[in-house]
Amino acid sequence: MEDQSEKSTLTTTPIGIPQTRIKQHFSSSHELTNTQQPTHATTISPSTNSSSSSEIIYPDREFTLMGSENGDSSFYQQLSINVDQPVGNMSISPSYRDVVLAARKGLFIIDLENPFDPPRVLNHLTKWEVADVQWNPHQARDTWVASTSNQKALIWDLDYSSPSAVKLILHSHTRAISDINWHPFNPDELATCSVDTFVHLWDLRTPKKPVISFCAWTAGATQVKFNKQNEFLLASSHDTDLKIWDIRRGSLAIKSIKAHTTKIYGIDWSRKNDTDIITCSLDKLVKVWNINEPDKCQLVIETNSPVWRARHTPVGYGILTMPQRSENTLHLWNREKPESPVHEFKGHTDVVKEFVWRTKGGGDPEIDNREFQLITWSKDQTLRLWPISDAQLKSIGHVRGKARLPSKHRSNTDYSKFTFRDPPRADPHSTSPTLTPSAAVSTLRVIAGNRIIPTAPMRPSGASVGSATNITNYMNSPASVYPGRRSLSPVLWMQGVKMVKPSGKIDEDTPKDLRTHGPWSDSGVAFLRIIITFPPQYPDNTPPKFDIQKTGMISIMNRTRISQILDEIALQHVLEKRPCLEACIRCLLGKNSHEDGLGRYERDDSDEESLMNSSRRTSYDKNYIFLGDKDDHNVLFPILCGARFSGNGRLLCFFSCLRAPDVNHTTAPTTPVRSTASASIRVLPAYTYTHPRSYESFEQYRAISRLPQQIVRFRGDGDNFSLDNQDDEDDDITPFLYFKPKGGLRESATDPSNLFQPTKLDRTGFIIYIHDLSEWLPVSQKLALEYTLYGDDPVEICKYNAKVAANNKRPELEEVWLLVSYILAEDDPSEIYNCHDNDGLPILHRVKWGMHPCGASLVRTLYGDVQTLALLSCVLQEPSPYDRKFKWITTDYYKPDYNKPMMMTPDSLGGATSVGTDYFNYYSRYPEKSVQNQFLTFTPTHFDIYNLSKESLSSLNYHQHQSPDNSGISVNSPTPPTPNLWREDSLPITMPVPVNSFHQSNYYHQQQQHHRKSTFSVSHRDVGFLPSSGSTNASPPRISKRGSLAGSVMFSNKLDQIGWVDVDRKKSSELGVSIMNNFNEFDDERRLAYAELLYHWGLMEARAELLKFMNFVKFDFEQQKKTLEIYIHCHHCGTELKPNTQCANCQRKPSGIKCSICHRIVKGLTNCCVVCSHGGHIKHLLEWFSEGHKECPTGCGCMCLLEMGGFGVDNNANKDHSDEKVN
Amino acid sequence: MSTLYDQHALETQHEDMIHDAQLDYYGKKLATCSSDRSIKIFEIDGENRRLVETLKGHEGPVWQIAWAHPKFGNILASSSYDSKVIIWKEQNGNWSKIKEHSMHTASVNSVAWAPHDFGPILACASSDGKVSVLTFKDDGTWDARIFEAHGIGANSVSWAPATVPGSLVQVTGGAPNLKQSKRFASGGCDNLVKVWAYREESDSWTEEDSLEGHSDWVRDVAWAPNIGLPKSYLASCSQDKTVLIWTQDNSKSDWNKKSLQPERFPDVVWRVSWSLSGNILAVSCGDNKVSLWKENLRDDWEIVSELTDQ
Repeated sequence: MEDQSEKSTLTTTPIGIPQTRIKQHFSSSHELTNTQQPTHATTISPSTNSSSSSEIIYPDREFTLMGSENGDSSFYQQLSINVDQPVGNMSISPSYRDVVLAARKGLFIIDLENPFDPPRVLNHLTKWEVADVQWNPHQARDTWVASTSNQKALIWDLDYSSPSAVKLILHSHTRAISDINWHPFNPDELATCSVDTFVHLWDLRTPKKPVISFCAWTAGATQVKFNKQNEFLLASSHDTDLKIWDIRRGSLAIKSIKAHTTKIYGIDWSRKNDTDIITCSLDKLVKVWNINEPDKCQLVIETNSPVWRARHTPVGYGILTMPQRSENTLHLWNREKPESPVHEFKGHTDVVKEFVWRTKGGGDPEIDNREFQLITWSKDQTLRLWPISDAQLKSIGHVRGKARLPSKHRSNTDYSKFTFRDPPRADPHSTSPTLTPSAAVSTLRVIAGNRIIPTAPMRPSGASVGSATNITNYMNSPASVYPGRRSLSPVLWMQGVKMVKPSGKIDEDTPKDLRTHGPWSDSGVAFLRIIITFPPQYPDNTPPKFDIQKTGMISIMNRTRISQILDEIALQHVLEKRPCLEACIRCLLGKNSHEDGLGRYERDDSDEESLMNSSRRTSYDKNYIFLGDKDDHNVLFPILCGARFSGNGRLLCFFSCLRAPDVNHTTAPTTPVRSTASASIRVLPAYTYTHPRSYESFEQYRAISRLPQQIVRFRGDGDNFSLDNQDDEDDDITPFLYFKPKGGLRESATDPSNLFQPTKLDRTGFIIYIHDLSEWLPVSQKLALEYTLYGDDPVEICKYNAKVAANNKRPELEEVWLLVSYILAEDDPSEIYNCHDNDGLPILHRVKWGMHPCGASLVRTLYGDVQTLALLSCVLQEPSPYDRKFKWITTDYYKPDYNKPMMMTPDSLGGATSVGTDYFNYYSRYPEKSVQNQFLTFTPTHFDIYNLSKESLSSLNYHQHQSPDNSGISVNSPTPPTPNLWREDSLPITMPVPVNSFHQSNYYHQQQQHHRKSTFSVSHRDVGFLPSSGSTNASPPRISKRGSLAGSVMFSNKLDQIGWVDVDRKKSSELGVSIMNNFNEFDDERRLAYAELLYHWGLMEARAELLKFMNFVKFDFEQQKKTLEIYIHCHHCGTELKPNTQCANCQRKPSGIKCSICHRIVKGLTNCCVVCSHGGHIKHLLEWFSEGHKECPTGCGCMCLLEMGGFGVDNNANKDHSDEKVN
Repeated sequence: MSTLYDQHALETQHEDMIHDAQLDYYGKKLATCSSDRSIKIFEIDGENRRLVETLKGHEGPVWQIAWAHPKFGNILASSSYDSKVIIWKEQNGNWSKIKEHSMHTASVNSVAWAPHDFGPILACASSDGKVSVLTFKDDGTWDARIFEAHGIGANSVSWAPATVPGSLVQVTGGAPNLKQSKRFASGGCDNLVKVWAYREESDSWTEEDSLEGHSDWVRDVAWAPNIGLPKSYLASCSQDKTVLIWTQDNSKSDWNKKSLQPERFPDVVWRVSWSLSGNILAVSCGDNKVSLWKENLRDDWEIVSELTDQ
């Protein structure tokens, strides 16, 4: 009857399927539904006796979980199967025995009857997250599985092993497919829908293109479902709308229901009639509609979270809802009682992605005795099996064993003896796929074989040559080649399969007893009872409580010690979120707690521990994912958001593109690793998330982050699809992040040989933000570029720099520079410039700013702006470049002996301060005197006293230097800063070498004396000091020329102070030395630091200019003199020779270089090119090159003349480094 | 708090999350590394950014990268989950591996080049608990030292600047007894920050200090570039949601610790980074925010800005 109507209507439907085929097809399915049913049952039943699990029981109505004889069957067990794969979706076989999990690596087929067997893997590596997988629900096509791969649908035939299992590729969608639905009546038809807004209907007999297409135009489709009663109707959801299509009506939707205000995630037709349909949506509502009343919602169920799927239960009036996020629990509702769920399936630690119903029984045509089991797949990578009790069925209005409702189509749920987990028996390559029924195969196979027959003609034959070649390409394309990963180890697999016990029963109710012997007794045998209480959050930061019962056999001290140790160990472990029991027991047994505790982080599943704390262990194991073969528990959780400064003041930032835990929703999904503790945390309004510590939680974290985001930004170029709506991205549709892409997959996607179109689906991309923070930093590259240090007059330099600062809108720096220029200008150099002593030599009276509060010491107290400070320290440094030109003259003053009398002052801080005080005294005493010459300045490197005597205004200038450093290193004041030997960079030494060497030698002399003296006693000084009326010991000629030492007043004045100094001389001396040392060094550090900045900016000239002021160098203790060296190699064997030795190899006396012109061995002076190492007699070479030759006389092609920079022609220059005397 | 002005976004074309990004010495080249196992090199010239190279060779996510000083050439070191450190070098525009350091047995979490004054020396921290120091020698060989540093895992290394207080000697000779020591800090899963110094006499790295202060894994340590600072600054951040600033007056004295802020950060603190000058500390936190901190005149640390993903 059904067939009649089908046929009649089909003929009028322009879907372009050859009618004969349809007929054939329907006849076959008809046969299936009507005639096979009884035969099937009968053929099966005899064989089930031997099967452990497939016997259909008719128990009395009260059926208990474990009570039946089938207790071993997984059907009645709460199982949890861990599948360490990024599985996208799941489907169940029509025989309800196998489930297929679709991951990017391919299909995993798990035999639910034998869950401990590792799954069969059909490899097919794709980079796309599998959005949907659907097992053909018809027994006739039970080897067919449809799965998605971005915009293509793959049809697998499980009769084949992996390389050739993909039989058809349906490609018509232009965007990712979001849903697949097999036709409930026609085994060869299926519908796909995609975000490209199309819904395509396919007939696998004509797989080249869809037989009919519907388009909603408005929005991408999320789901497509055939009506379960009316084969012509199908529904699809597009954003907020639900569209009902009639395949007889073509492209216009017959009904359009504005079902929700937010995106619809899932739809499901009623099993009981052809009008009711459920929709569920982001708005947390589940609605039931009658398609004939599109404006009136029949029923609304309010849930707590966005609903990913809501489907009718196979029986009764139940609706099972699956939240999209924020909850890991499935809720079972009764349509009659929509206020609250009648049951919840709680246990997954992450969001559930898919559920299917597994049915058993139903062989009896009269009464409905089917039993059910719910199978769920969650992002926690476990498959869970939930037996449904009769009580639960009752709660949704179904009583098992009641008379069956007249069902229009079969629901054959007899147990299949055959599992698809077994690899295909027939080698697909040797036997023809178009198999004929064979008498030899088992009954079931015969049936299966029989049913396969009609499909045979539609296998990719002539009709789909295109597809066939496609497949070949497809399977050979690099992206799909499975890289031969380790096969699943059965042991590993079995570890992942666990019986799930009712939670919390064991540990809370029945205390476990553990008896051990330990060395804790003070005397003889003692009995100690310790009760350990585990808090629910354990082991997440909450240590268990150890209650050691009092006993007379152990001293209180010992008891507290044990308690302390145990607490400590426990705390240590739980802070790492690690179970501590084992370590504690080890400690109680007398082992060294710490070693064991820390050393035993390997995760060993010792019986001891798992037995003792099984529930705790499972909760702990949830956090544990095997990633490769490595133990990741101590590998850091990756940095997802970071900032790094770079040398030039730019800050590089990147942010997590995974969804950061939402501040406003700190609920379950964001807290995978602390799900146990989340209950208490949830109430806090503030941000309370803690990122996991280690990498082992990363996959989980990432899986959560794949959930739809609040804000999704798709970049709409090229092949991308853009969704303008917020919060509606389907992770099922969007293969967004995947963990281990084989290098450069996306790049290879542009390869035309690859079938996949490149699709950029980065959320925000992976973007680096470069913030220019140079504005924030005190230093400025621009200023550095313009600042100068070069010039004769520091005042001018300052003024110039002030201008630079002003131009760059840095008024504060301008002020600083101007201020400094004023300070420096107070002592007008030009005035003194013209002062000459009797010899006509210029006398330097410039103010020295070393210890002046406004001088260099001021600079030293400042921190921060390295740029300004470094420059200021240079400008204020004594001597300034201004002095340089007088160096030659002024150095004459410095005879070591002359300095003797003044020795004590500079070499101690006390002296320095006293002099400083003195200066101020003077200043106050002679306010009327011109200030300019009255400065006494103390710099770390030299010491000058400008004293204005009362009698004459002529000034007396003592240039005093003193080595401040015990290490005996000193820089003369009038000398320029000693050329720094910046070895690393070999900066140009600006000092003329002769001057330098002169100074150096002069200095070493001085220095030695000073050094010695400074360590001498006071008496020595006094000797030096007392003859104040003149420079007693070899007073320098200059000073006598200048007249009497008028400084006697000053010296006597100072006497008392010196006395004071002497009291604490030693100490202060040391202090002084160190401070002076530091000061100088400190300046240098700044200069170095600024030099480093200049280096970063590439301002090498400015850097060189700055480094001229260095007093110190970094001591390069790894300094190796790398100079050009010439080695002698043996002519014959080529080994390196020491000078004047024989060759050890060939026992020949080394001969010199053979002249390349006269070919004789050079006995005298030789010259050779460093590049080609040819050379010879200097004379010959000189002749050769002065003849105008540029190349080597041997003809080796080396341009010796150029390489050597005027080889023989400029003989003298080259002699230094390239001449070598041989013999 | 104020906003930042100049900001440029650079799409890296990575296929997975970025874990580190670093500009080279001159700020002209940018290297990024990612979970997609690749490293990308960009040339940055003002507004122009150009992807010049994608370095592939690691077999796991690449955690951290480090540019060597340009005087050694364009050299980049990268550390990866695959327990390798690869040193890459550019020659004539072509990048190639010049060294694969595979002495570690677990994920290498951090790499850092020593200050250039010491020569090309690289320190690596690995989850196998060890820290290794590679020295490139003139003859082209590498000298590798590997030693236990943090029992469960070493997470980060950071070198002390070459110029630390007391490290300079005067130019004119004298007794060169004031030797500059190579030092670096490491942070690990034992919640400690350790300071290591090279002892020439024993030719080995010895633990100079062990700084206790964190109550959970130390995720990152950063030694402040010693520019205009009176003392050594060391920042460390941890899983315990705190950032500690350690200061030391000279290389002999004790370390003083100070928490960056009295309360904890909202989430795990992932990384700390100092600016080269100005002593600004950038703190990257698990809440996807980067905050910038500066020490004020009262020696307290103040947040000066906060950056978030736009």
